[in-house]
Amino acid sequence: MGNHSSLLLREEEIETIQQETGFTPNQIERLYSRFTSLDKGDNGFLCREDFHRIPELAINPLGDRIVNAFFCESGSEDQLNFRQFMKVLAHFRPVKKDKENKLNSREGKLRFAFQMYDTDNDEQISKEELLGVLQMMVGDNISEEQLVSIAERTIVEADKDGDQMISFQEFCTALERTDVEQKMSIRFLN
Amino acid sequence: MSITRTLVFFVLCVAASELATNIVALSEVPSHGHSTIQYVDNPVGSSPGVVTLPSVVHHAEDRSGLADAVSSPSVSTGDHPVDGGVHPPADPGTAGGHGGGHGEGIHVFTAEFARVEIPFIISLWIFCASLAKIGFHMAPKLSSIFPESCLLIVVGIVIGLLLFHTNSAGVSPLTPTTFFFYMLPPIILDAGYFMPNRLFFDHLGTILLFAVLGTIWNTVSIGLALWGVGQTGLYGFDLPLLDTFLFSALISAVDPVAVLAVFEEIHVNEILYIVVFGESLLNDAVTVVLYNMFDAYVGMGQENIKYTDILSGFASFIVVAIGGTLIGIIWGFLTGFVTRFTNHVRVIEPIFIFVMSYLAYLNAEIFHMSGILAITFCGITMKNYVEGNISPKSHTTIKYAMKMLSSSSETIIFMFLGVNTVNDQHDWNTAFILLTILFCSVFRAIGCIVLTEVANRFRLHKLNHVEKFVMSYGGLRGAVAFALVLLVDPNKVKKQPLFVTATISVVYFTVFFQGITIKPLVKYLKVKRANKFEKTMNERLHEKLVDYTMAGMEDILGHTGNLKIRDKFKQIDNKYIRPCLIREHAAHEPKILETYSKLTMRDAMDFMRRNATSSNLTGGNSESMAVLFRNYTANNLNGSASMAQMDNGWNLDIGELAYSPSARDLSDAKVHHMLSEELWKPYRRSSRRLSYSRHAVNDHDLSSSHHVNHNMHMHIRRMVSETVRKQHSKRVKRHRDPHANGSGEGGSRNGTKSVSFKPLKENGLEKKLHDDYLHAVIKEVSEAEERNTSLDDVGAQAAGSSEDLDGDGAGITFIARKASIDPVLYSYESAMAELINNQQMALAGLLAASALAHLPVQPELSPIRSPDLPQSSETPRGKRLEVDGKGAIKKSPAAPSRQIPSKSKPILGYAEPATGIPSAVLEQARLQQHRLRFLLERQRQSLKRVISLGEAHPSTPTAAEMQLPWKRDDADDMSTFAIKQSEFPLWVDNKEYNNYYSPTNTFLGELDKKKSQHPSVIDIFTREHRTADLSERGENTLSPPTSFDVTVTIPEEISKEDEEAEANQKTFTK
Repeated sequence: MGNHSSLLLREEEIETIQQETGFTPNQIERLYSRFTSLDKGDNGFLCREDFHRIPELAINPLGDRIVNAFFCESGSEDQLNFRQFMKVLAHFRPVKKDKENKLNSREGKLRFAFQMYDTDNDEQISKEELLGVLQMMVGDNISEEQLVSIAERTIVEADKDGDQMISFQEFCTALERTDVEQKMSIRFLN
Repeated sequence: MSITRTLVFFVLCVAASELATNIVALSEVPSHGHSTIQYVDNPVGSSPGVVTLPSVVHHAEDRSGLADAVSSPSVSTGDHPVDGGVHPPADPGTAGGHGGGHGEGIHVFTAEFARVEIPFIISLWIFCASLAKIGFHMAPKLSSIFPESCLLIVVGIVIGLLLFHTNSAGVSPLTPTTFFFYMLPPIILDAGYFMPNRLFFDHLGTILLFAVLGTIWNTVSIGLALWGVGQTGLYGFDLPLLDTFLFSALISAVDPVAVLAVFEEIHVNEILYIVVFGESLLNDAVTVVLYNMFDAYVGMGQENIKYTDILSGFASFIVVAIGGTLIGIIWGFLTGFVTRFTNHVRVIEPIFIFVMSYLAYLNAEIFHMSGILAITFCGITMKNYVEGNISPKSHTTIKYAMKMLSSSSETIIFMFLGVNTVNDQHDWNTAFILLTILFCSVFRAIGCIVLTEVANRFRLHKLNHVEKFVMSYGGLRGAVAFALVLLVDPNKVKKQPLFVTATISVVYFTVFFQGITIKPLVKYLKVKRANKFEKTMNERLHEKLVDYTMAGMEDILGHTGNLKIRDKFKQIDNKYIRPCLIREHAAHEPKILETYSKLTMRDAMDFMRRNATSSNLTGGNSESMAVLFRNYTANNLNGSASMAQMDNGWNLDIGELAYSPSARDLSDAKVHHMLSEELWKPYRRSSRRLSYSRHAVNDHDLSSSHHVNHNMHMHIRRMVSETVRKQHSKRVKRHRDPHANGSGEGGSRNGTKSVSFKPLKENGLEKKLHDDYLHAVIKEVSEAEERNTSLDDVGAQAAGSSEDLDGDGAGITFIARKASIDPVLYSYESAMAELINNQQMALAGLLAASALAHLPVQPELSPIRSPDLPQSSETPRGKRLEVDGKGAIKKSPAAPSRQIPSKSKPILGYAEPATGIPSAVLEQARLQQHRLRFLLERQRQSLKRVISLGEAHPSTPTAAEMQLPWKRDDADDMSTFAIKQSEFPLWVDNKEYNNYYSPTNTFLGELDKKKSQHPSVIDIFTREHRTADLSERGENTLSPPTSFDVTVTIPEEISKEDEEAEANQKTFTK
C-alpha cells in the first residue's frame, strides 16, 4: 500500500507539501495512502461524497460542517486535491516550539474552529450560525427556545463590542484559557 | 449540633456495620449454627466475661482470603493488646442497642459502659480526629507548611503515646479489616465519583502503563535489590527471597489516600494530578494480585513453586483487574437504573449511591477481585446517569456526605497510623529500613523516567522532566501498605515485625519528607499549576465543537484515537444506555445545558448578591440625607449630572421624602421591624416543624440564602427611612399642603410605587432606577424653572430635557451598572416625549415603556440581548431616532431588546408556551396604552411634586392602611401592571417570606400610595374589582419569566393575594 501510493506521489510534490505543512515525508506518504483509499473514484481528488462515505463521519453530528470546512478552506467547491487535503490536516499537527508553522499555530487551529461556525464566511459568528451548530450537537430533544437562549448567552458572553456577533478576535479571547494547542492536535503516525 | 449528630450517625453506622460484617463473615462458614459456636469458641471468649473488640476477631479474617485458618487472634494481633473491657459475652446485638436494664431487680440508675463501649470509642476517635482537623485549620501557618496528613499522624502518635504509657491501649484501631472494609471505600468512592471522567480516560493509557508496569517494575526491582543486599549479610539476618518479594509487593504500591491528601493541597496541573492519582487507584489490582501471589508462594515454599503458579498469577491479575472493573461498571449501571425510579422518594436517593457502590466493592471482594477498581469504576460509571436522575438537593447531599465520609476516613486513617506506630513490637534494622526507603525512591524515579519515555511516544502532551520528577516524587506510600503488612502472617514470615516497622518508616518518610517538601518543590520548579475555573459558555460550546471536529478528523484519517472511541461510546450511550438509565433523557450534550443552567444560576445569584451589597452600609451612610440631596440637586443644576453620586444606594424617592407618619404609624413600623427581624428565626423553626415529613425535605427549610440578602435590605431600608424621617419630617410638615392632586394622582402614584414594589423586595436596582428617574425628573424641573415654563408645558420640556440629557450625557461617567439602565431610561424618556408630542400610542413607545416595566427584574441580570421580536425589532429604533437624534440613538437598541430576553429565556425545563403570542401581544398593546397614559400622568405629577416639594401629601394614612398596601400593588390600576405579575422573584411561593417581608415594604415603599387616596370602602372594592379583572387578563399577557426564575403561574398567585388583601382590608377599615 505504502509503496503503491508513494509511486503516485512525486518527490517534489512531497517536498512542497512538506514545506507547506510541515509533515514529514513519512507522514505524507501515509496520509496519501489514506487519501487514495478515500478517493473511491480514483480521480486524484476527493469530492463530498467521498467524505460522506466514511461511516463514522456520517453519524458525526458535525460531519457536514467538517466536510464543508475542508472544502471551504481550500476554496474549491467540490474537489479537493491532496495538497489541499494536507493543508487542512496540517492545522491539526501538534504544535512544536522549534518548528513554527502558520497552519498549526494556535491561531490556525482557532481559525479552523471558527470556520466551523462561520458558514457565510463573514468573519462573524452570528446567533443563527451558533444556533445551527448547537442544534447539531445537542440534538432535537431540547426546545428551540432553550437553544436560542443558550446561543444568546454564549454570544453575550463573548461579545465585546456589542454587535451581537462573535468576531474571530472575540472568539480567540473567549478561548483564551483553553488549551487549544492540545485539544486540536492529532498525533499523526510516523 | 448537626455535626455531632452526623458523627454519631456515622459512628453508629460504622459500629453497626462492623457487627454486621462480623456476622456476615462468620456466616460464610457453611452453617450458621456452627458460626455461632465458633464465635463463642473464639479463643478470646474463652476467658469468661471478657470479649475483645470485634476488631480482634477480624484479625482472623484475611482481606485476601489467604489467611491461614490456623492463625489465632492472639498471634495476628501481636501488637494490639487485647482489650479488657467487660462485655456481655456472645451478644453481638447489644451494641446495636436494644432495651436497657436486665438482670435482677430494677436499678434506678445504672452505668454500664461496656454495653456501648465499641461505638462509643469509635465515635470518640472520630470526634478527636475531627477536632484535631479543626485545630490545624485554625493555625494557618501550620497547615500551610505541613500537609494535613502529617499533622494527623503526629496527633495520632501523641495519642498513641498516651495510650501506651497509661497502658490503656486497649483499642487497636487500624486493623486491616476495618481499613479495607470501612475506611478505604469512602475515600475511593469519593475519588471515583468526582473523577474528572474526560481527563481520566484521556490519560488512561499512561495511567495504566504506570499502574501496571510501574508497579510490577517497582515490586520486582525493590524485591531483588533488597534481597541482593541481604545476600551480602548487611542486615545481619537471612532474608528469604519470597518474603522480600512479599514485602516489596506491598511497599511498591502508590497509595491513593496519601496521594489524594497531598496532591489536593499542592494543586498541580490536572494532567499531572490525574496521572499520579489514577495510577494510585488502578495499581490496586496489581498490588492485590502480587501480594496474594507472593503470599501464596510464601505459603507454598520456594521449592514447591512451579511456573504454572507464576502463570496462574498473571492470569489472576487479568481476572482481578478486569473482573473488578466489570463488577464496578455493572453496579454503576444498576445504580443509574435504580435512581431512575426514585423521583417520588427523593430522600433516599443518596443512599442508593452509597450503598450500591459499597455493594460493588464488597461484591468484588467476594471474588477476591480488586474492590478498589470496582468502586472506582462504579463511581465513574454511575455519575453521569445518576446525576441525570436525582434532584439537585440530593446531589448536594451526596456531594457533602461523600466528602464528609471520605475526609473523616482519611483523618482516621492517618491518625490511626500514628497511634499504631506506638507499640513495643518494633524491630528496627537500620540498614534494611534505610535501604528500603532508598530503593523505593530510586526505583520509583527510574520507573517514572523510563515509563514516561514510553508513554510520550504515544502522547500528544509530552510529559516533561519536571513532570516526571513530580510524578516520581509524588509516589507516596500510605495506609494501604500498612494495612497489607499487618495482614502478613508472622508465623509464615518471620520478619513480619521488621516489615511492619519498615513499612511505617517508608510511609512516614513519604508522607512527612516528600509530603512537606513537595509543595515548595512544585513552587520552585514552577510546575504548571491547576487553575480551577468554571467553564464559560463559550469554552464549553467550542470545546464540544472541537471534540466533534477532532473525532471527525480521526475518522477521516482512519485513526482510532481517544476521541473516536469516545465518540463511539457517546453514540451508544445516547442511543441505548441513556434512555434506559435516565428518566428524562433530554439532550445529547447535557454538559452544554448544565453549563448553561449553572451560569444562569450564577448570574442570578450574582445579581442578587451585588444588589444586596451595592447598597450596603458603607461609609456614605453617615452623610445626611439633606447633604446628599443638596449635592445631588446642585450637580444637576450645574448640568453635570454625575450619576455616580447617586450610586450609593440611597433611595431618594420623592414619595418617601415627603412621607410624614403619625406617631402611631411610627411605632407600628418599629414594631414591624423589630418583629420581622427578631422573629425571623422562630418563624423558620416553626415552619420546619410544620413541614416535617419523613420522606421528603421541604425545600423551604433548606433555603436560607435569601434571608441574608433580605436582612441586609431591611437594614438599609430602615436606615434610609429613619434618616429620611429625621431630616425631612419637619420640612415636610411645614410644607404640607392639602392641595391634593386628587385621586387621579393617587392612582398614578400608586402605579409608580408598584412598579418598584415587587422588585424592591428583591433588589436595590429598582431603587436605583427610581433614582435615575428622579434624576431625570429633577433635571427637567430645574430646567423648567429656569425657563419659567408652566407646568402644562411639561411635555414639550420633557422632550427637550431628554435631549439635553443626551447632550449632557457626553460628560457623564457611567459606571458599568448604570450603563445598563440608562438606555432604558432614555428610551423611556423618549417614549414619553414622543407620546406627549404626538399624542398617540405608538408601538415604539409602547415597547419602550414595557421595557421600563420589565427593567426592575431584568436589568443586568444576564445581559442577554436576545433576538428582537418581529414586531419590536424595527419600530422602536426608527421612532426614537425621530425624537432624540443624539445620544439615545446608540443606546436605544438595547432598550427594546431588554424586554425580549425575559420571553425567550425560560430557564431549563420550564419552556414557556410559545402559543398565543399574537393575541397576547395585542392584549399587551392594549395594556400598554393604559400604562403609557398612566406614565404620562405620573411624570406630570412627579414634576409637580418635585416643584412643590413636600406639598403633595395631604393626609396621613391610618395604621391599618399602612399594614395593607403590600397586598395592594396588584390592586392598582390593572393596566399598569399586567406584566409585572410574572416578575416574581424566586421566593414568591414562599408565603412566609412574603408575609414577613411585606410590612417593611409597606412602610417604606408603599405607604404614601394610600395616603393621597380616600380610603373608602367603596374605593377599595372597586379596586379589588379591577384586580379581579386583571387576573383574568393576566393569563393572556405574556408572562416573561425572569431569567433565573421558575415560571410561576402568576394569575393564581395574584388572585390568592388579592383575596388576602381584601380580607385584610375589610378587617382594617372597619
